[in-house]
Amino acid sequence: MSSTKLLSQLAQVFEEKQKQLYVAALSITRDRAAAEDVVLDAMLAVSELQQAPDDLPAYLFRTVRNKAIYCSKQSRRFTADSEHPSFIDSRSQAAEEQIFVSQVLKQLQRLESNQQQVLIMKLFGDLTFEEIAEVTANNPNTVASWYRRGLVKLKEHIHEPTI
Amino acid sequence: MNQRFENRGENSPDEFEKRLSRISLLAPSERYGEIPQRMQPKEIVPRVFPRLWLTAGVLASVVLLLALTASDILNFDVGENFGTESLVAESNDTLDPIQQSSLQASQSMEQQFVAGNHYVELQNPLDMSDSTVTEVAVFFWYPCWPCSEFEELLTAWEETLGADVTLHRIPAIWSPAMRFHARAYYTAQVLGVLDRSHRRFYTEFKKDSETISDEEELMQFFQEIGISAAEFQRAYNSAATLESLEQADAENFAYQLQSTPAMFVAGRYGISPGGAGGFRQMLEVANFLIEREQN
Repeated sequence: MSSTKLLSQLAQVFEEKQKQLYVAALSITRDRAAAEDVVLDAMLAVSELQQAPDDLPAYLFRTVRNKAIYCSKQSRRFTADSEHPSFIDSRSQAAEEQIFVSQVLKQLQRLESNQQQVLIMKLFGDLTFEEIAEVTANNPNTVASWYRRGLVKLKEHIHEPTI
Repeated sequence: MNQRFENRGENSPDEFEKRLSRISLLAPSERYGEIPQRMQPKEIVPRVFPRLWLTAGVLASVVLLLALTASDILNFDVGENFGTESLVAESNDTLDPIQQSSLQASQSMEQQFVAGNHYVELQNPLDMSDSTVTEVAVFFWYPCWPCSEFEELLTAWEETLGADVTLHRIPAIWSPAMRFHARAYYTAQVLGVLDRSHRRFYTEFKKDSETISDEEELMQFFQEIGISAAEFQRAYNSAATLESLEQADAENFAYQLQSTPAMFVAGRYGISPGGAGGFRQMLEVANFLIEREQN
């Protein structure tokens, strides 16, 4: 496959999967700018391959996730105590909701990394189990299992504010 | 909010889940949707009168070559000390017969195995400076029949390796199915039963007639080789297995793996059956590269 053809296919995959790519990166980096950079870096890295991979979307998702893991280890910017997390949209939230969000993010840290990522992608990123399975190269049943277990643990940890 | 769950046929969320789902991620910035200029596919513009330009170019080249031939530019004297043959001859004279034979063999292999042809040099080599041995990484995939054929040769070749070389098998992971196969490999590794399972997995995970397609069937396979259901579950879900999968993910990415089987020597050289010219040839090239790394 020629380079031009690879670029065309890559552009098409990006057009179809840009939301999933962004959410996948954000679930790991927890920072919007870093997530965008990770997706861009991954696209550039894949575009420079001499030979197109057999499964381009899967290869791209894997590249994004690996780069995001590397980026998060380098920066370590996420803090559960941050009042203004750099990946959550808190513009329309009431004060009470912001407290709840802070608690959620804090308790999320206590979960296993795969459970954290799946909860972020499913609940906050609005991806389906099938989409998350594609992103993480797992089957939907495994993803759903991580989600359910993570949700149960999160609920146990959360202390909801009294009204 | 309920619609989002109902439309997907998922269980109705409870109040806690509904409240969580009201939290949204920050939308990406405007620049996110733009594909960088250097990645935009370039349109191929046909050149005007291509044959005319091609003919003119060929004619100009012929004229230039004739002009150079007639001049004194090509008529130069190399001199005795510029030829590499003389340097090699001098160095050969100081070596004992065994060293001379080895040098001649390696020179012969240098001419036989060419970078970019029989093997490739990685653009982004891995940092192996901390390693005291030469690492050979071999990527495989159970349903891949060339991998199955290569495995027999690889196993025999592994027996010939010295203590200063380690062979590291890594499953290729590009899809959920491949991840499942990789997980089977690492589960067997954790249980210490690779000798009973690795070769059989090449048969059990065949593409067209997959006999093991899910966790339940995998557990039945392990029970056949003497592992209880409880032992299997512990190993299948163990931190060691999951961490090995993460490590394999990272290695698949680091080596920019694109096909199987594939060998990588010292994190710097990649060997494929097509490039080397066959499975036996892959191992010959690997031997050559290992020797180069260690000398």
